[in-house]
Order: sequence, then C-alpha cells, then structure tokens
Amino acid sequence: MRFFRRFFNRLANFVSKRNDNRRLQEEIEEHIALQTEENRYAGMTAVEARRQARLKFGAIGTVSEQYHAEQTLPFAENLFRDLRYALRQWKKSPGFALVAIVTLALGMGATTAIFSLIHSALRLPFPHAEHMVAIKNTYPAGMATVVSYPDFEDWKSRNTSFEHLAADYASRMTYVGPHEPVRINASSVSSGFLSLFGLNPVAGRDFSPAEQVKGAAPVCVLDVAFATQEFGSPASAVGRALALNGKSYSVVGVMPPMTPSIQRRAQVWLPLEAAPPWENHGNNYLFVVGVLRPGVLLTRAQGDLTVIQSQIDRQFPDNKHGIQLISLSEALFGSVRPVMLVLFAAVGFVLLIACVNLANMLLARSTERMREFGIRQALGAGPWRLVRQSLVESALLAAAGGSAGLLLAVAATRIPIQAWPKFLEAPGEVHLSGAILLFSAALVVLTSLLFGLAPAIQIFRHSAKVALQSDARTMSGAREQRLARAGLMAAELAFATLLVGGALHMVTYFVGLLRTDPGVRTDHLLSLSYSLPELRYPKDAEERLFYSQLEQKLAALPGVESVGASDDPPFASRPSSGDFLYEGGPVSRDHNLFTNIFFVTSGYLDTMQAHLLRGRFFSAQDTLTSPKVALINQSLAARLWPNQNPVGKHIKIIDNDWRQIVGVVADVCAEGAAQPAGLQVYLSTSQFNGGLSDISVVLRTRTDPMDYADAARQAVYSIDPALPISNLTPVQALAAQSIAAQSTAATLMGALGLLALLLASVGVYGVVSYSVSLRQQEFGIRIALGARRNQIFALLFSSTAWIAGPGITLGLLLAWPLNQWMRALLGKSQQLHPATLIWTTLLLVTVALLATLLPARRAAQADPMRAIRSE
Amino acid sequence: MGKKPDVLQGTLALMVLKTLDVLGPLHGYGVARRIEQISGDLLSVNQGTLYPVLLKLEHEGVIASEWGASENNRRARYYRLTRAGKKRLQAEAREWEQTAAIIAQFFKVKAEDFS
Repeated sequence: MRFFRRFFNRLANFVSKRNDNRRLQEEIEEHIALQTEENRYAGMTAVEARRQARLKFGAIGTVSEQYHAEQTLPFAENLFRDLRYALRQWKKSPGFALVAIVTLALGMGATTAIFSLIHSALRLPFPHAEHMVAIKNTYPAGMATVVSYPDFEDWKSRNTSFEHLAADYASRMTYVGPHEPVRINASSVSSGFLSLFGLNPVAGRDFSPAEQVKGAAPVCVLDVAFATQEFGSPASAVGRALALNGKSYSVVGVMPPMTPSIQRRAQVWLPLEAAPPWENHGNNYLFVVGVLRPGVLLTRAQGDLTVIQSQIDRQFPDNKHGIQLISLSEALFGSVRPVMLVLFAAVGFVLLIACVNLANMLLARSTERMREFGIRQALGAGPWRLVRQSLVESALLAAAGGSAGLLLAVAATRIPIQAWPKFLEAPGEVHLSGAILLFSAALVVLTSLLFGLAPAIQIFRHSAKVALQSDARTMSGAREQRLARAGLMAAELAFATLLVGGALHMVTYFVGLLRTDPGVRTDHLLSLSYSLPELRYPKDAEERLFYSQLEQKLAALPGVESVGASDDPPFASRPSSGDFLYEGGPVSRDHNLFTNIFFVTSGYLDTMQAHLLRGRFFSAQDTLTSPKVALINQSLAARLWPNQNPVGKHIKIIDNDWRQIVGVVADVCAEGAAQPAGLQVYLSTSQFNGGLSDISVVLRTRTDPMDYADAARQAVYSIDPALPISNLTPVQALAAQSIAAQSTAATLMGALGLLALLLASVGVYGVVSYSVSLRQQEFGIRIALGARRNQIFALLFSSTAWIAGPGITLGLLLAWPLNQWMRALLGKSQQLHPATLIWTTLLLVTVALLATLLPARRAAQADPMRAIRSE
Repeated sequence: MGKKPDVLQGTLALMVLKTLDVLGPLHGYGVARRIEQISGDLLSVNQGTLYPVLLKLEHEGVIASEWGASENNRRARYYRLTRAGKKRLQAEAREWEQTAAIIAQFFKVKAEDFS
C-alpha cells in the first residue's frame, strides 16, 4: 500500500518534472544554520562552527541524490538519460546507425515477409485441414488418377475411417447470359462438399438433401464474384435461372470462393448426385477428399479403403486398381513445397548474413568505446551503470531496426495480387506470421544485445586503468576482437557463397529450361480452344463439319500459313494415356508400358513445325477407311525398337486395330516446357469417331499472332454465333506460363543471391575499413620507411585473402551436401555444375577484393607525418 | 549506493515518528537533535540522511509538513504526525515489542529446557 502511494507520488513528480530542490536547499541551509548557531554557543569560532556543522550534516551531494531518488523514478530518469546519450552517439556517426538499422530491417523484414507470404499461400484455411486427405486410384504403371462414381459411392458407404467423404468434378460448361456465350468453370460436388471446406452461403443456402438425389430438379450455387457480375448482387441472384449447356438451373445460393481451390476456381457449383456424368466403374473423373475420423491415422484409412477396393475388384475385375491416400496439403502443394523450402533456406541465410554484419559492426564500435568506458569508470560509474548504458544503446538499435523491419514486412504483405507469383494461388489474405516475426526479431535482438554488450563486458574483465590506456590496437583484448571479427567475416562469406551458389544454380537451370528445344516452333503461333455443346452437335458428323469449315476459313485468312488442331492447347496438355501392344513385344497388355496419346488433325504437326525424323506426318490420305496409321515420338521409338527403323512396324492402342507407324517425331514438350516429353503416340482425328468436340486450334501466322485474334474469332462466329471460344493467346505465352513456377523461383533466388552479395560486400568493406583505420599509424610508418603503394595494397589484399579464402572454401564445401539436399527435395536430375561453383567463387572473390580496394587506397594515401604523430 | 540500508532507514523512520508523537510538530533540525540526544551515537554523523526519510514518510502519508517560522524567525519546514502516522506508530510499536519478547524468550533458554 505504502509502496503504491510512494510510487504514484513519484510518477506524478516525474511526469510533471516537479523539482522540490529549492525546498530541500532551504531546509538544508536552515539545518546547517541552526547547527552552526549551536556550535557557536558551544564556543567554536564562526568559521569552525560552520565547518563542523557541515561535516556533521554529511555529504550534501549524497543527501541530495537520495532525496531526489525518493522524489521521482530514478529508473525512468536514467533510462531517458541513456536514451538521449545513445541518440547523440548516433548523430555523431550517422553512417553506422543507418547501416545497422537497414541491415536489421532487411534481415528481419525480408525474412518475415517472405515466410509469411509463403506460409499464407501454403495454408489450408479449412476446418479440419490437418485431417483432410485426397484419395486417388493407382494403376500398375504407377499413375495416380481420379476416381469413378460407383467407387466413390462404395467407399462412402462402406468405410469406417472417415468422418466425411466428398467428391468434386471440375468441368467447363457453356453459359448463355445476356451477352455472348462464355465457357465457365463448373464444379459438380457431392453432398457436404461445400461445408467440408468451410464455405457458408453469402446469400441463399447450400444444396438440400432433396436436391442431391438422382433426377432432382436442376439447381446450382454461384460463386459470389460471378453472381455479382451477372446479377448485380448476391442476394438478387438467388432464385434466378441460369442457362448452362442448354439446360436451365435454378440458383439456390451464393458462396464465397474456396481458397485455395482444389481444382480450377469454380463459378458455379452443381449437385453431383443429381446427374452424375458417368456411372460405371471404368470412368474416372472425381477428385475425392476425405476427413479422417479423430485418432485415425492415414495408414489405417489406407488399409481400410484397400480392403473395400479389393471387394469391389472381385465384383468388377476389369477395372481393378489400387488406392493411394495422401494428405490434402501434400496433394495441393506437394509439387510446390520443395521449392518453397529451398527459398526458406535461402532467406534464412540472408538473415544470418545480416546478423553477422551487425555483429561485426557492433564489435568494431565496442573497441572504440573501451576508452570512453574506462574514463567513465574512473569518474565513478559503477560497472552496472555502463552495462545498462550498452544495453540501452543496443536495445534502441534493435527497436529501431525492428520497427523498420516490421514496417517492411507489413508493406510486403500488402503486395497487390497482380504481383503474386503465378504458380501460387493468391491466398484470400496474407497473415503476417507471428511466429516468424517473433523468431527473426528474437534473432536480431539477441545479436544486437550480445555484441552490443561486448564493451561493457570487457569492463568487468579489465581494470579501468587498462581501459584508460587502451588504444584499440594494443589492448590485450584486441587480439580476441580481431579474431572475432575475422571469424565473423569468414562466416559471412561462407553463407554468401552458399547462397550465391544456390542462386546461380537455379538461374542457370532456369535459363537451360528456356533454351531447351520444346520440339516445336513457338513463335508466330496463335492458339484458341472451343467446345461444341452436345445439344447442337450430337453427332460426330456435325463436329467434323464444323471443324473443316473452320479450318477452311482460318486457312483462307491472309497471313495465315497453316492451321491444325489437337485435343489440348500446346504446353498445357493433359494427355490421356493408355497401355498398348507393339510388334515384337510381349503379347499381353500387362507389361506396364503406358504412353501419352495425342489426337491431332492432319495439319497440326506441320503447323506446329514439329521435327519429323523419319517417314511422314498425317495427311489427307489417312481417312476412316484407309489403313490405320500412327506416329510415335523419338523416345518411344528408342524404347520399343532401339537401333531399328520403326517406320512400317505396328502398334495396337486404344482399339483393337493394328496401326502402322508412318513417321517418327522428335520429342515435344506437350505438358510444359519443363516437363520431360515421355512416350508419345499421335493418332489422327480423321481415323477416329469423335474427338473433335473439344479441341484446341493453332494457326501459324506471318506476323504477330494477336493481329489475327479478331479475325479468328470472327471466323468461329461466322459458323456458329453462339459458340464460346477460350484461350485465345499466342502459343509463346502458353509456353512461358508453363514454366511460370520455375521462373518465379529463379527470380526470387536471383534476388536473394544479389542481396547476399550486397550484404557481404558491405560487411567486408566495413571490417576492412575499420581495421585500416586502426592501423593508420602502422601504414604511416611503412610509407615513411619507403613502402610503395602496391606493397600496401598487397598487404591489405593478402590479409583479406587470409580470411576470405577459408570462408569461401567453407562455403564451397558446404555447397555439396546442400546440393544433395536440394536434389532430394526437388527431385531434379540437375547436378551441381563445376562451372557454377567456379563462377560463384569468382564472384565472391571479386566482391571481397573490390570491397578491400577503397580502404586500401585510403591506407596507401596515409600521410606518414600525421600517422606517426597520431595517438 | 543503496548499501546502507533499509535497516537504518526503517529504524530511523520509527524514531522520527515517535519523536514527532512525543514532542509535537518539529522542523528537520529539531528532529535530528532530539534523535541524536536519545539514541546516543546513532545519528551523530550524516544527519542529512534524515531528509530523504522525512520525504519518504511524507509520501507515505504518515507525516505532513508545512512552512513555519523557526526560532530565529527564519523560514523552516515543520513536520507533524498525522492520524495515519499515529496508527502506524502503534502498529510498529506492537511489532517491536513482540519481536523483542520472542528474542528475550530465546535468550532465557537454557540447555536443560530441550530434552
């Protein structure tokens, strides 16, 4: 109680800066006067009386201090005094303060921002996200695919490991609204799917159980952006009718978008059970997601489903297959996660380099402060006072740098979505990862405190006398300091080497990707896709007619050199695959060779300017009635008939006809510029029924492909004004998009590598510059004794080399295990090229030497007279 | 310099309170002299340390101060005991008596008492 009264009194005094010093002075004066009088009565002389009175009173200064201490908050007062002092120091050497704060801000801010961005993008914000798994079919060739409807239903009814099982089928449907028809993304979902992902209706409601049975009246739920775009607001969309693929669906609700979305972001959701597209065991099209029961492990669920599947397989032996369960986050992000990890590591290294820089700077300063602390100690400052001073300075530095870092991190998370890396779906919102912020803050605060305390700690170890005499060069602790600085610089260079090496590696890999021959010529090529609605094109004949009319119109456009079509756009292919039999090979179909199958028109490969290695492309002579033919790619040829001419041999695929191979095509990177081509078989659409309903057309143009976009669109509408077209883009854009992920990763790594180089060079410069300033006298003497400029240079370069050498070597040595880790992670068959290592070394050595150059020039210009005279 | 304690400060505070209780309002010098007389050597040097204690007690609310005229008609600050101060004095006096009694018991103890 008393404590609080006193405390509040003190606080009030402190804040109002009330100073009752005058009162104390008066009281003291009065006291001493009275004592003096007594002494005089006792017989002393006036002078002696006063003197004795003062002696009896005691040290006025101490009393004053104690009085004052009682009055206010000495803690706060001291703190402010220390802060003001620290700020004055900063004003004296603004360069140091600036560099320190920037280093801290970069280290903390960049790390936190990138961690948070990636963490947010990889987060699954669904309820039960940790228990969600994706379930796929597996086939003998090791492929994992989507699932069939009856399988899904069986699993749902018979399993014991899942709380919920739900499925999703992504398709494209034609929506005819007030404007021209468009293809939109539709998602047929099983019951409970939407709520599984935590989606709550913004307007209206989710599907009701009655709407999710076979044959129910068609209803749909819209995505909120789509609803707003088409109907003005979510609320006004409910109850309206939507024309999809010629049927009318009634809108029952509007949902917010699912982020991240499992498949393409859907604009409309439909109930799956009301009209499942295919209902037999062989047709796989569902993406199945399950929520494990609490306490059930993935392995147990896998076992459970495997048993169920084997039961199904007994009943339907033609469609037997295995099951694979993987966690949902692995399924969605599995391919991206390794790259993210590598980036994490890189950013971590940048943080380390920043901390090392900071430590070096603080150490350097500490030796300067030794002398000052020695003087202060001699004047009566207790050692703890000095420690407190150092603490306050370091804390101030950490606070300033930390806030700057926080600002940086927050700003970075507000990056507009357009700038978002394309391979990561932009998350709904980016959460600043508190954990990472704390971690990096702790790291830099620790560094600054640790190294900022160095001078004060030295006080405890050496007497004030030594400190006073100190001259940063001759102090006994100087050797330790030098070693510490050298060690830190070597560590910094090691990290920088690692980082730069990694960055170079990624960048060269990416450049290599860009350079690989995709197997076709991508320039001057326009692509567009369309999908013919069944209602108006029920038969194969109508589809063919449409295409041949379109092909004619497009070919007739001035500037169009050739036209062709295939089932998927170039570089974005999701080919079907199948097993096959080949001449001279095993007789049964179970020999585990699957190949990708591409349906193409006769003009396609020519338009794409694929490389024909042997034989011929498809031509007009290949029709439904002519002998069946096929084209294979080089890889398949080498696999099946190594060292032989495949032309003339036969292959049986898809149907029961033996087809003659009429040509061999060089590998084409159909699935993406970075994907290996694999085994490829081309079949002509003219020899099959169907296959022309959903295709991608390419035109080889003489000038810029987008010049022809309008004309192409017009060509389509002139045949069918109600047909939506999509993907009207130059093929080059498609190619670039297919390696967007690698491009972003390479860019980020490159940026980080540059940052590391910058930080390292600043660090080296700082350390060398500082040691030069310490050795001014020595250089002056050397010059006076006749040393020439290049000798001084050599001296400095060699001393840098002694530190940089081991540092860089350490980095190179560590690069090997790190590269192994990267390879295991990324699964790339990219060996670390010796060339990369050599370039890295050259870069780092150059940086170190350049950073030494400026201080070296200063050293060589040292005026001998001044240097000798300086203390 | 917080070595000199709290022990001294604590007893000093008590002495100040008792002095003011017995002798009524006094100025700082008066308190110092009376304590010196009663306690013998305890406060013969460093009388100045009284003033921080006075301030502390005033902050705690057990004494109050105001300006008045000293014997020589000069300005002096007079301290007096407040009601809270009286209560505190009584409480502390009781505590001291208790402590003294316990210690006295211990000193009376002989070896035979433990068996």
